[in-house]
Amino acid sequence: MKLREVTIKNFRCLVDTTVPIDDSTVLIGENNSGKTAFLDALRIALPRSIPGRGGTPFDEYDYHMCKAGDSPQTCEGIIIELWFREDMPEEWPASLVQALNDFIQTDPVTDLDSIGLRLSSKYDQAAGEIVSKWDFLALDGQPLGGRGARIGNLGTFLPYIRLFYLSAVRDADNEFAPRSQFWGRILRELKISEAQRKTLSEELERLNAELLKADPRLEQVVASLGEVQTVMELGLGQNTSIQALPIKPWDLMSKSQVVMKASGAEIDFPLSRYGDGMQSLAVIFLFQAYFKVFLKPVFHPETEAILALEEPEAHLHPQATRALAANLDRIQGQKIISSHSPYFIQEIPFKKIRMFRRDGPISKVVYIKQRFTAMVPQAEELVRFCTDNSTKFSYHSGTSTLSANGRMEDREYRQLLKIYPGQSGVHARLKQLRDESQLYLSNDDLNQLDTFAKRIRGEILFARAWLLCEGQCEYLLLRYFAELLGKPLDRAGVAVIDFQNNGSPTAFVGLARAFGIPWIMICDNDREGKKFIEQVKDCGLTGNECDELVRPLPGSEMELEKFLVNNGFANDCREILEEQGVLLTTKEGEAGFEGEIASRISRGKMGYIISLIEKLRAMGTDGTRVPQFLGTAINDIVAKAVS
Amino acid sequence: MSTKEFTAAWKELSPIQRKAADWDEGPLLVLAGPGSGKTRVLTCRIAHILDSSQDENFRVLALTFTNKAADEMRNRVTNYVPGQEGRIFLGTFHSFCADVLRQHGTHLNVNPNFNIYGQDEDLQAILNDAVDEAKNKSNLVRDIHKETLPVIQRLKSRLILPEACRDKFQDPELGEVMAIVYPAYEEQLAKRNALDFSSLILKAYQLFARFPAFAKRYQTVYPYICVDEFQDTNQAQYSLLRALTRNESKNLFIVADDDQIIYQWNGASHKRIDEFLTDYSAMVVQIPTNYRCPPEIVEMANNLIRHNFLRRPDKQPLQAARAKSVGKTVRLLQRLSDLDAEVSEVARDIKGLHSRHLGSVAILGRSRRILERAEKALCSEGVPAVISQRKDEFESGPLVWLHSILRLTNDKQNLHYLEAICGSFAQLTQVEIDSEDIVIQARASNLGYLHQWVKYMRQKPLGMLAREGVDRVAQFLSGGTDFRAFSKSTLDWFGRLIEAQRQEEDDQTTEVFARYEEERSVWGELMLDITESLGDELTLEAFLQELQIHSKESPPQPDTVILMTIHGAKGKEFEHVYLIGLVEDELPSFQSRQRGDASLEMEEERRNCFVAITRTIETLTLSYAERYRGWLKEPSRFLSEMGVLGEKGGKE
Repeated sequence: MKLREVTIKNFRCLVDTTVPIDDSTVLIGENNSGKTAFLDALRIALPRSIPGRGGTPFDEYDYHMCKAGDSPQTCEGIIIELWFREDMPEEWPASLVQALNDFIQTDPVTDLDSIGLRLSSKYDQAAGEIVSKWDFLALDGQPLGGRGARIGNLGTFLPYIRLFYLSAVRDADNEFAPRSQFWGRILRELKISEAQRKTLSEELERLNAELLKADPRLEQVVASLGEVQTVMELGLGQNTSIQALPIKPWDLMSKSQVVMKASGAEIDFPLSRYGDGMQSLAVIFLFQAYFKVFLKPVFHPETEAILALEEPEAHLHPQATRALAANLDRIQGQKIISSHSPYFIQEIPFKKIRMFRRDGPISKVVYIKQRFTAMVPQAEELVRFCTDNSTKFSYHSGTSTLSANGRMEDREYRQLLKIYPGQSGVHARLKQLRDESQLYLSNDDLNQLDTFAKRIRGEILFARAWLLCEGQCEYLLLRYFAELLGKPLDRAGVAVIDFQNNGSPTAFVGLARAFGIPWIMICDNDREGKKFIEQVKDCGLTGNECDELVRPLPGSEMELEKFLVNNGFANDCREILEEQGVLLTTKEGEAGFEGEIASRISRGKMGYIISLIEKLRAMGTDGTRVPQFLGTAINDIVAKAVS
Repeated sequence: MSTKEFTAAWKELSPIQRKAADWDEGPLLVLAGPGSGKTRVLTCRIAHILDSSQDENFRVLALTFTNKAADEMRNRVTNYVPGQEGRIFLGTFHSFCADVLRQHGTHLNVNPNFNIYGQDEDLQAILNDAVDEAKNKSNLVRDIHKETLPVIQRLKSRLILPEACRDKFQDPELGEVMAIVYPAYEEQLAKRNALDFSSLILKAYQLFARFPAFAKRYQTVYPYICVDEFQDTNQAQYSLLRALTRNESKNLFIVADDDQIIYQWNGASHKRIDEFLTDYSAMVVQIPTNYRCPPEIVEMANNLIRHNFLRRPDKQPLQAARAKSVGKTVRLLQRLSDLDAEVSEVARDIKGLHSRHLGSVAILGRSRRILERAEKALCSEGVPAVISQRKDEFESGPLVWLHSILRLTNDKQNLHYLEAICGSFAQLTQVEIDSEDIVIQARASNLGYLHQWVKYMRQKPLGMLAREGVDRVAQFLSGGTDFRAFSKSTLDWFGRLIEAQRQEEDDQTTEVFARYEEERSVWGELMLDITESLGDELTLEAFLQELQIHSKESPPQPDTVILMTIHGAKGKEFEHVYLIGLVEDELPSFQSRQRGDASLEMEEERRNCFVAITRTIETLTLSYAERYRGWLKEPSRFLSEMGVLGEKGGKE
């Protein structure tokens, strides 16, 4: 049973957020953007034991309040809604369906089972207090009636889905303590047969006695302590003794600890004496051990675990972080992980990433969608339309949902509009569906991007804005010019992405739009550049957007080299060419001079551009020399990043 | 680990009973005669399945003919395998369908909160509205079509949907009319968020037939299905079973007796058992042993039923398990001049023989009419007696008030319930208000009627006790509508009303509480049974729906003779049975004789007689008279078929 969707409303900064959940899902976003709130919401909605009646699992700051006078009494209530869903029919074992029958919902058409659980918490006028309750839901989101409404259902359900939460601070001393969530449980679950226990106890007592005998002074101490009894009259038959070691097997067990031999060392070191990174990893693998050995025997054979893991990269060096991410699939159970590490992200497919962004008091979550939906009434022609275009469109009558898993073309859009003549409400929803569907990224696009992300270490997802350019020369120049303008791009959180070597510009534009990352693209104004522009336009940008964001170098057939020569760098370039022993056929002032420089440079573009930047740097060049066109682009993207 | 109760019960099974109870896999038909211990077989089988799978989660579905039978079986199973209550659904077809619709009805636009309308007068009111509306749409529809309620019910019992009914009539004009009236009726029901009994089956059938995904779900959850009294299932119920099992089931366990079909008029058929055997390729186990009746009666029953032809050819005759008794087991009372004389003689006979154990006597009759006469006769002899019959609604003011409050909580704008509340509250407290006032205010305030009622009553000057009643409702509404707590608190309040009224000795209030005690205990019983059937955490809507399905009849009083129709006596047994009115045109009925001596109807009458006499544990007394309603009637043919009278009507 997998968690497949989470909706959170009015919980801290999460005002209205729906997040699909994969087998592994990675949450990224700046500090305070709601990642921890999200994990906390899950933890509250899936408590480890059945909450008592009355009371609320939330504290007053959990209620989203935006106005000064707001209080938990006046604000809209918190809703945390979880949907567990089959990915294919009959995925859930019969024994699970039998056990949870009273609140499993079956989709009559797809035959997929699901369970919807909603925790809501709201001030109840009549009762005069905050009322928090868990409801199981029908497919339409309404609370179930009949058997599905029984309060005991939560208690039946919870043992089947266990959420384990590992916060960023993973101190081995705590996590391996006798009362901790995994280790403690493991120790408690260990079964020692009565006969063995007896033998062990006897053996321990014998050892104890021997230890005491080892030094006669101990006996004297015992005797002297025994005199306490005569004073206190503790009662008959009580003996004073010293336990040199725990006599009960459980006491002994609770003192167990994990020790490791460092490579090449002779001595076992307790885990707590290792570094933080080692400890952190050990805790994660402790979860794994617990999951493998104890989860099912303790709960049910069908029980599944969700691991909510905060910052697995904590205290780990980059290679270890990458290795952990790459091995994520080997950790059993469903994983929901928050991370700040580009090293971690670079191993995670974009599809699994949920980006949290803060917008004033509200956070939103963005992610790559490959399926777009709109609620439209059933109509015969619609069903026919979906049959005719079944690779892209489908309609679900139970929930009145039209889905598109691809970009809706204009032709298709017009066809759909015609099905609902004069119904402006439906038209508006179809338009929204069309617009949203333009964000569609195909699996090919995504594969390309994933390969790219592995190369550039996933950092672009942590940037606030993107400046797209064709190649590495532009990359170097733009960063240098920004420095000259006193606006270093790193500091502003702008990533410069040279798309040509890393896939197509459309992939990045699509990604930027899917994640809502502001971007500007600069390209040559030649044939190839125009081709890029056309491609980007196909991503569903409006004409205005395109004019504002896609910026070809000004001038017809303009390329970077020509642009530089035309914008005040002709002499610098000439000097570099001369230094490198390149003889020019034209002289300054003669016709074709600029053209010759540009074409010479283009033969060893990268090297010349690096030399140019070095030269300018050595000269102590200032911002006045930055070409206006590029200066504007830099200023614009920095402004977008900061806002 | 089996309980000792279960171990003992299992040991008591005869080898053939055990064979059935222990049946492993594969569909099975248990052909069980009257008194053959089929309930024991069923309960043992269910207990056995649960007992041997304590760690598993699957459930057992057992469908019975009456709620009473379900409650009894549940008690036994719970006793045998405690702690497994959550793993059985034991109830009638109707209860099961209601449960299905509560869970999945939304897929057919049935709100889980639906009301069940069981009373003909309610359904008639709905049909009246439907016809009035339909008259505006089509001039084919006339007032006379307000009498088509039975037509609609028959369509539903054949699972014919409104859109498909047009060509189901021999009279094309009636088809046209019904194609308008039937959908209009359904629309009116939907408007009231209501289902009638036949739609419970129809909608559940529709759900399984249209969306096999749900049938699959139920098969997963209920891999074992048992059906009791299968012979009386009608077409709709059987189709439901077929859809539910998707026409195949490894573990369908059917208990039936083709000689006890008495609901042919409701769609039962002797063919259904054959159909089942073919449809599921089921095996058959026969249990012909009769543990209930004296051997004389077993012989009479065999003699009688031999005259039927539409029964399984390989059916084994009943075998008496009991030894012949010493005393006179079967008596035919002297034939008197007319029905009144006959029932008076019966009354005297009972008084003479059984006055010390009246609770063990039952009078059975083919029709209600002759039972009424018998009741009168018993009454004039001073013998306490009561006619047993289904009771759909509570009648005493207090219970009407309590029931209506709960209904209005669930169905917030139901005028009918509001009126009942106002009326019964006036009876209880002499506070008269006009329900119309509340409706008008509720419209303005947008409150539910009950909230508005509380608000309205709070503005009125009320006596202490009346105020207390209002306060309790207010508390109920604000405190999360815990209906069980409210019920308890309300019964307390009734107690104080009675106390107060005793001090005043006001005749009118005495009358208000006339049947209160009796109905209060029925209320308590029903609450207990329904809670046991649906579990502790019963919701109000489920409780109200089940309450609607259950009869509100009081349990038989000790030392009271019970009078029952043969249909009502189905599945029951009595120490001393009096079967009255054994003449032609009564048993067999006039209609069956019209149809002919070899008709289906005549065979059904014979089975009626068969069922009636096999209710007997100790003695059977038969009676007949010469004249009924002034007409001279021949002694029933069944008397001679049973061998009680000679061929020519002479006593043997």
